[in-house]
Amino acid sequence: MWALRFEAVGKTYRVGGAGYRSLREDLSARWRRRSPASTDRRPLRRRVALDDVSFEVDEGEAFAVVGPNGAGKSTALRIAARVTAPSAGVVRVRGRVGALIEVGAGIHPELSGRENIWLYGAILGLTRPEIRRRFDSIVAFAELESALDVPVKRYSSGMQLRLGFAIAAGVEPDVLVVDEALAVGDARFQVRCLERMADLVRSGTTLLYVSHDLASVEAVCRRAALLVDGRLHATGDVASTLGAYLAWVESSGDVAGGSTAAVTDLAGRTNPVLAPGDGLVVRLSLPPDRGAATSVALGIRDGHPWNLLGALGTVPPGREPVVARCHIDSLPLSGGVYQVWASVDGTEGDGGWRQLGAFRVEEPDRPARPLWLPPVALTHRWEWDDR
Amino acid sequence: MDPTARHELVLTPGAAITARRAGRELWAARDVVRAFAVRSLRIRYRQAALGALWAVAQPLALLVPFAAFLASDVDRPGAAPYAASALAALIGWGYLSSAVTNGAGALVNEAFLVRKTWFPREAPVLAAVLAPLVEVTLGLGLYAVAGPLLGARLGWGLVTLPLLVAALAIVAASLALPLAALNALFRDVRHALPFVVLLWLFVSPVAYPIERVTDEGRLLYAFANPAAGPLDGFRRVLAEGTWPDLTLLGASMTTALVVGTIGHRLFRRLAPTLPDLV
Repeated sequence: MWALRFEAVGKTYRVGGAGYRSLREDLSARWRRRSPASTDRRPLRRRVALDDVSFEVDEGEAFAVVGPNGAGKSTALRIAARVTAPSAGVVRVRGRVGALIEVGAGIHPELSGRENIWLYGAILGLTRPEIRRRFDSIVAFAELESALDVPVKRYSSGMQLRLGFAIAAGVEPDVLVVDEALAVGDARFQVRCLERMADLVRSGTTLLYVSHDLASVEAVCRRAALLVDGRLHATGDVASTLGAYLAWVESSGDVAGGSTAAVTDLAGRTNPVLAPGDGLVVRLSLPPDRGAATSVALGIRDGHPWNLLGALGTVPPGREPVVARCHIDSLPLSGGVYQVWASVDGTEGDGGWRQLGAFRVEEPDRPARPLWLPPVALTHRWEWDDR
Repeated sequence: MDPTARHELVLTPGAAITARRAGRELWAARDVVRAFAVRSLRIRYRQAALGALWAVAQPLALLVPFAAFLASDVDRPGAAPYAASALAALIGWGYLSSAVTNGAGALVNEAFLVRKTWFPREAPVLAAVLAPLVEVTLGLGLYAVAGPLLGARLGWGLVTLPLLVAALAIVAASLALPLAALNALFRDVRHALPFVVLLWLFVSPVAYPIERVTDEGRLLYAFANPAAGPLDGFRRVLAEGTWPDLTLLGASMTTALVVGTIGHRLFRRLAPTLPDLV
């Protein structure tokens, strides 16, 4: 039995048209377009955010939507949460939807934390006794006991996120919709959120989840859909969908200025699936028109915007290479999905980092990495004594 | 919970939902209306030093120039003193103007929530219409003290007071719903509204009794200005000690219901686009 169904859903935004208008601007814009002397014949531009997207999420299933930035993931979630209406197709939802679309969604800045729990609980369809019953556990989860009567506008973004998530998850919705908002929270809260989501799924809640943190997608969800440019590229179990995502990243791998890149395993296969401890080869072309490169930095990430592991290559003086190749003999990574990033002549800060490709590490005895386990693994060996 | 018993929600492009579905969803969300109303009262008085005294200060302040400059022109033999009857109408008017003004701004003021969550979009508008009922209650409390001092007459017509308040709330809601949606679309509404409300005060029987309109024109007047019937009722039951004129009241309510039906239709048409507009 499905809990959420997208049937050939499309969404188009009017670019420049939406927004707060004044009647005069509207009338004069219409007049300009009509009058024969006008040279302003710009048609209303439209941006397609979703196009013919169909998928079905079963009751009690954890379903992820993955894809690059601007692929329409958030739009899909906003439609599922009824915040915005589809432009085409039909969306069907069974049961009460709790949504955390972004930091502060459903949270009113002028209200205190306590008032927000009452208001958002009511918006999500809870009666007052139902809210009263859940109130303490929501406050406890958000860890906001001391700030409960302070207006939310004085909260830090992390506190706002904790409150928003605690309410959305605390009302025990039939369908929980969570967008990538979680990235704002500190690491400990992120793990608690993911555990809470997993708990809700175990007790029968349907989850629709969007995140760039592919490790958490793998840990929490069983099925996923890949969106690229508003179109559905793949649906299926998490492993195959993430595989399709990696293949897509690989095929569109492109570093600044038309250079190309390839991420392969030691045998030269692209889109590699590795075992823990396997090696990797990264090849990167350096277009000569950008001047001679002096250094190349590589970073490996798990979806967060920072490098877990890195390698810095300095071009020997006098050389003007057009291709850089980095051989990594062994990767100390646990199971999960990782991306390879590079920066040519990178400056300090986040200067010039681009994604080159991605790969997967699979551990034969463990399908998904537990949430508490960091991606970088120790090189180690256990010994067990019975006495 | 039995999974098959869960309510199925169908979301389709653009088209407005039916009035019936809107009503059902609004009823299911009555706690949301209440939460919005409680909230708006809290926010309004949280940082106001005089607090709810504002509710009685406004009609009293308006009464001073009215009584000073108009009493001699308007006072009629046999009627209750001008100050008593003007204050009665001012209390009703104070409610009406703040209900319409706040209701028209409700969606734009809730932009933060409208953009990110779903709830029946009527909820904040109706909450803004209902919240000032607290003030009208305080205003009537003021009248219980000041009315007799100003020479108001007591009568059994007072029992119809709740009906008259409800009639004013219906008039306010019928105008606030379309104005709130239009305000999201065109900011002109916000600029025009204070001026239009002021104009409305002058063409309503507040500073003068409805008898200033000719006998033949009075019914047409009550049709044209839906505030006229209920405000005239306020004056009759509070100051004159008589019963409200049901013909005038009926005429005003007919207009309010027609405007409200059309206005709500417009509201439902615009509602799905609101998150992209506010």
